[in-house]
This record gives sequence, C-alpha cells and structure tokens, in this order.
Amino acid sequence: MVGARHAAWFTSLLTAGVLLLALSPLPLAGEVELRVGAAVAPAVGAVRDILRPVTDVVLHAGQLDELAAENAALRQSLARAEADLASLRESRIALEQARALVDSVGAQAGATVTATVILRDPAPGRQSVVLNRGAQDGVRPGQPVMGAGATLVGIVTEVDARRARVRLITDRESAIAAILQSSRTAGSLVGTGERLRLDFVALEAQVAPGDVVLTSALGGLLPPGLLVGRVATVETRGQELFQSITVAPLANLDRVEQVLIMTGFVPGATLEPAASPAPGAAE
Amino acid sequence: MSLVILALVLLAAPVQAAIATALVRDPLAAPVLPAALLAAWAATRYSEERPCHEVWPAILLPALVLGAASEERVGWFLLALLPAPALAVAGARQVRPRVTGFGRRVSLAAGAASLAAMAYAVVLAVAAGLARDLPASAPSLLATGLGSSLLATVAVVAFWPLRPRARGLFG
Repeated sequence: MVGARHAAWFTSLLTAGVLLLALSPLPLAGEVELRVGAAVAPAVGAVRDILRPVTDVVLHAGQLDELAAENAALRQSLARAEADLASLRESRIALEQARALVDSVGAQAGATVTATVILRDPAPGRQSVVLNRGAQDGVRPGQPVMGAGATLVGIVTEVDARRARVRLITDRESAIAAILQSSRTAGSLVGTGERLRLDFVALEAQVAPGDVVLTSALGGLLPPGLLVGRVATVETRGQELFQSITVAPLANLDRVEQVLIMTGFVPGATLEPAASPAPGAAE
Repeated sequence: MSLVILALVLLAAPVQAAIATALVRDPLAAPVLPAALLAAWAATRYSEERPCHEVWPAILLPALVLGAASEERVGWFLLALLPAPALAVAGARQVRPRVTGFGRRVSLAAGAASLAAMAYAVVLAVAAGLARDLPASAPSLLATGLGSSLLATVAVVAFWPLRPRARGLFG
C-alpha cells in the first residue's frame, strides 16, 4: 500500500514533467517562466553575494599570494569605507562601468541601453543571463550585447516588458558570422560551452594564435567589427577540409555584471530594394 | 512537520541556482542541495507509519524556480529532480526506526543523494544536448555526487533531533 502510493506519486510527477515539456512551446509558458525568473532573481543574487567570499577561495585556490595581496588591499579599502556610504558607492561603480562601456563602444553602437545581469542560468550546458531591461527600454530579440572593452558577450533571445534573456556567445546553440581581423578570412564562430570554435576556415587561410576575431556583417544579423575574441589554438589535420581553430572570448563571461545592449541595431535589416519607376514615368 | 521539508527545499532552490553559477566553474559539478535535503530527510524521518510522502511534492517548487531561472524548461528540471525522492525513499526503506543507527542512516542518505545528484546532472546535460560529452564529464559527475553526499551528511546531522523516537507513557 505504501509502495503503491509512492509509485502513484512517481507516475504523477513523471507525467507532469512530460506534460510541462509538451506545453513549453506555448508563448504563455515562456512568459510565466520569465516572470517567475525575475521574481527569484533578487534571492539568487543575494545568495550569490553571500557565497562570493567562498567562491573566491574555491575558484582561486592556488593563487594564495595574489589573494593575500588582494585581501590586504580590500582590508585597507574596507577600513576607509563607512557603512552608510556602501550603497552609494555601488551605484557610482555601476554608473562608471556603464559610462566606460558607452565610451568604449563609441559611435559604432548607435542607440544603446546599459543593463545589469540579474540572473545566470543554473542548468549545466546553458550559458545565458537575464538582464534588467526589456521591451519598454527598446530591447528586441537579436540585438547584440556588449561587455567591457566593447566586446560582444551575447545576443538577446527573449524579451518581456522589463527583462531580457541573453544567450552568451559561448553557449552551444550560439553561432555568429565572424571574420579574422588580420587576414579578413570569414568563418562561423560557434560556442563550445567554455570557449569558441571558428568553423569553415579553409586550410590555406593564414591564421595564427593571437589573431583578433571580429563580428562580420554577413547575413545582416550583427553589426560588423565588434570585438569577440582571440585565436587560442590552430590545428590543421591533413584529411580535413577546414582548420580546427579555438577562440578565447575577450570578455570574462563568468563575471560579467554590467552590459550594453545595442538597441539601435535592427537584426536582419536589409537594404530597401530600389523603387521601380512608375509605368509611364519616362514619358 | 512535512511542511518543514517543503519550505526547506523551496528555500534551497535559489541557493542551488547560486551554487551552480557561482561556486563551481562547471555547473555539472555543482552539488544538488534539494536532492541532499530530501535524502537526509527520508533517511532520518522514515517509518512505516509515516513513510515520507512529502518528499514527492517537495520537488515541484524547486523545479519551477530553477526552470524559471534557466533557459532550460521547468519540465526538464522536474524530470531531473524526480530521481531524488525516488532514491531517498528507496534508501530510507532500509531504515528500521529506533534500530538503525546514525552511521547507517548517513550512508543511506549520502548514497541516495549522490546518485540523485548524478541523475540530475545527466538529465539536464542530455536536455542541453551534451549527451555525447558525458563520458568526458565523468569527473564532474563524481564531483556532484561527492558534494551532494557531503551535504546530505550535514543535513542528517541537522535533522537528527527530528527523527521518530519511542514515546514514554507521558511523552
């Protein structure tokens, strides 16, 4: 009897899971998920802030000298700080980062909106973040998102009124048109989870580690010339048609907090066809 | 009392989202806190009179929270968390109330949490299209299992005062 009730629970939840997956393509499902995501974002952010000291120790184990120096600097900084100025300082830092982003992108960006990362994707194999800007700020799917130093960090994939989800360039479903700055060789830059891979670069193309990779305007899905990464490794295998190239992103995608959304860019915009002369206009 | 585990697992969801994105470089290696809590709860609280049915609905809200925080769908998180109560109950059925000692309960909880965490990681990796990379991710899977079993051990210690005990005449 006890086992039967457990089995009933298992079957019900399994069915619920499958049903939810079946219903997930509905627009309403995505909207509900985005709203709940925004509701839990502050809690997740607060826990991340609490965990940050632990994180720094775990992730930077082996860098004790650097940590000690950083710790000493932080202690000095802390001693100077007064508690009631902390929130004001945070605001100032965010403003400076946003201003630096705008300055670094410069005239090529057109209209831009600064945004803060409020949520990171907890699922293994997914590289996406949620930003605190949405449709009412002019954000649309397909718009590029820039990090520090005018480097591309991702592309907007989902938008609601006040929030937007950005797929980072390292996500396995990310693929963008790219070009090598030195040789002007075009390729397809795809995410591999942690890094990037530049596909479809012919064997005879000149590529070397350190070459800068930029976005390409091919396809009209991205503005040209945005910094993306640097070539990390190049391998050529005799039996293959293309080189095997890995690219390290220039932006630190694990730690990105402030970003710039290029709201002035219209993805897929093409030139208007020339107006055909009206019949009889020549007469 | 069953509301306690529901609340705890719900509170664990944002912590899990933060752990997976801040504490580890590879989210596959992140310990799975809801699985550890459920395994520890069942190993501590299970008895034939109270067979811990509450561990099943406890996964609904964390699945919603984690799914909402992720590009992955809520349904996948529900399926990924589903082995947690199943393994927790299966482990806890080895427990004989008032007979089974602390050490055996810890090992049952740790084992169930470890397997549930690995199942969670595998389901989400498959959902993300990483099935072919799983053999290469074996160290990360072991890390998630180990981390979750450690969390389950700590949780058993925390839940220990809540275990069913023999009542005296006036107890």
